[in-house]
Amino acid sequence: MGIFSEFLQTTGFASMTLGNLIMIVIGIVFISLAIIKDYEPLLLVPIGMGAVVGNIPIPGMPMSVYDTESWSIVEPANLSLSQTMSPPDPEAGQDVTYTIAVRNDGKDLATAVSVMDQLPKGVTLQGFTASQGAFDGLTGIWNVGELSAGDDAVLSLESLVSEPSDDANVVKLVPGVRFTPGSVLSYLYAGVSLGIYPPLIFLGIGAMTDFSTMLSNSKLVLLGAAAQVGVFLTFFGAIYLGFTFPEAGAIGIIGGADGPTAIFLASQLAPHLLGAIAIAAYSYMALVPVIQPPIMRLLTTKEERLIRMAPPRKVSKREKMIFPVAAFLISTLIAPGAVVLLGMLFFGNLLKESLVTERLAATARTAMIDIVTILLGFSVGASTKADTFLTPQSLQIFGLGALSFAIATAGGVLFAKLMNMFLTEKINPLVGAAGVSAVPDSARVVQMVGQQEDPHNFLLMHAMAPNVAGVVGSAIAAGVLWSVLT
Amino acid sequence: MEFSGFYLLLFESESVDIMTELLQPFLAQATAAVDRSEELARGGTIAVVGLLIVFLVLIFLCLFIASLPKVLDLVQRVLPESEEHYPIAHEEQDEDAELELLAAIGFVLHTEFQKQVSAGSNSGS
Repeated sequence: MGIFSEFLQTTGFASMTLGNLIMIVIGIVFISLAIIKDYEPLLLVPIGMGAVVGNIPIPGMPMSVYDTESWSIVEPANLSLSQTMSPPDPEAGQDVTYTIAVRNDGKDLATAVSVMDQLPKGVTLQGFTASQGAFDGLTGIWNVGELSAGDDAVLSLESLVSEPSDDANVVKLVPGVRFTPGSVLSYLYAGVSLGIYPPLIFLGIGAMTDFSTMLSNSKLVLLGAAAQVGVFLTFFGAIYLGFTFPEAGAIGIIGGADGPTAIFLASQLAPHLLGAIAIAAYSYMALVPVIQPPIMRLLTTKEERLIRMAPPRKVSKREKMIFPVAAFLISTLIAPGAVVLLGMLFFGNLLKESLVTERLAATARTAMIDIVTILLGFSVGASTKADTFLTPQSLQIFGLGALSFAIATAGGVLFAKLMNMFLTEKINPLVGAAGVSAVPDSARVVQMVGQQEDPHNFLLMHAMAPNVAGVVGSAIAAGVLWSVLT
Repeated sequence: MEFSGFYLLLFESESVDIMTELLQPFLAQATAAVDRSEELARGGTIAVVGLLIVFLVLIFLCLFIASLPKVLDLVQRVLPESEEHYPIAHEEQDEDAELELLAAIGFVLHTEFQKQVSAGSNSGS
């Protein structure tokens, strides 16, 4: 019976909290939404499963993403030292052996046991043997390691006396350094916390993005900038609500509607909010077809929604090849903070457009981005532990994220209307909504809303231009916030 | 005389201490309000400047994209674009196009076949 109750104590049920249970349900809801409603399945399935995995309580075992590796200093305790010398009175040119023994006199296991030995003047070390651990002849440090209660370890130092002296061999216990390895999940999560996965995803995105639509109608690039108003207004709103500047920057970027960018910036500025920000960013990206259409309809008239745009011109191969390099230089020379994300984005695009590195481009846009997406989604999901995720701050972040998304959509639409005041060839203002960089969902929403008014109006190609410009715009916004707030 | 006496009383050290104590919460509140407004002003500045930088970068990109065809037209005269430079990539692309075409033909045939099958079963019942 006792064994059975002990076993019960080690199960997840014994340590399960209400928060854990809620997070597991949220994870299952994410998986269900992805499978049933087809909402961003490539991300919601890994995140959902990660949330389920990350919220299984494991009593006494460091298994979560937050159990990272660590180094600590261990002061010696309950240890005794002894040494002998043979022969006891050596002469010049004679060999001498110092035998040092360290013993654990305590009742518990001693870890990171370290002993330092300092040979007397005129004595040169010739060789050594240690019953356990490693001895460094240069520093004189003997890292004994672990010693069980009552156990001892012995070190023999064979030396040569070149000049006899009255000095004694000095032996003392020194504080040891203990390394505690992290959990498996913490190593997977390092790709998120160190900001490694998002640039790799950008590489894949670059390798799959066709900038032709943007290159064929340069004016539409500005819509990608206008939509970033959501990022900066939310940043201000977050400061107003009492968040710190770095936290506000990380929250504001949700309006960029770019998951990897949001994760990258949050990992740099506010790692403690990363889970909530990532979940908010991906949730709203999945909800693009729900959030955007009402705002688009509210801010446009029927006549505006019926505007047909001229078909895009054909873009030459040369233009497409030059663009990634030139665009990278232009963007990062003005906003160097965006160099990591834009460097990878445009590098990926160069792999695609150069036509001579097709194999690399194919790998980046298929296998590599898939692997990184799995690792990113799963480890972000696993980071949503109930005690760090279910907080009032998370609710505020969700609220601000929704606001940010709505403002970004409105910003793009209103800027398109503003541009129409000066343009002879009018832009359909719906296209402005695609300035948020949820590629290609927001462009699809533009197409859908446009076709509800006129089934023969094809806006998808036009909407892709601000859509990809939005990716660039949100990366620049992230770069600016990163460089200003760190 | 009475007035100066009052002021003297007011500025006696004990009175000053009492006044400071009484005013402390208001002073703290005022300092916090000033700090808060300074914080908001700084946040607002970062937001405006940040948005301007994003616009600036994308305006430059827009100008670059708009001028690129003209520049390339000039380059084309000196250095014409060669088609043979990317034989492997073209072959791969041709293969892809062929596969896409085959897939499209297959899809049409399958759809037509399905229609015929369903029409046959409908007429049969």
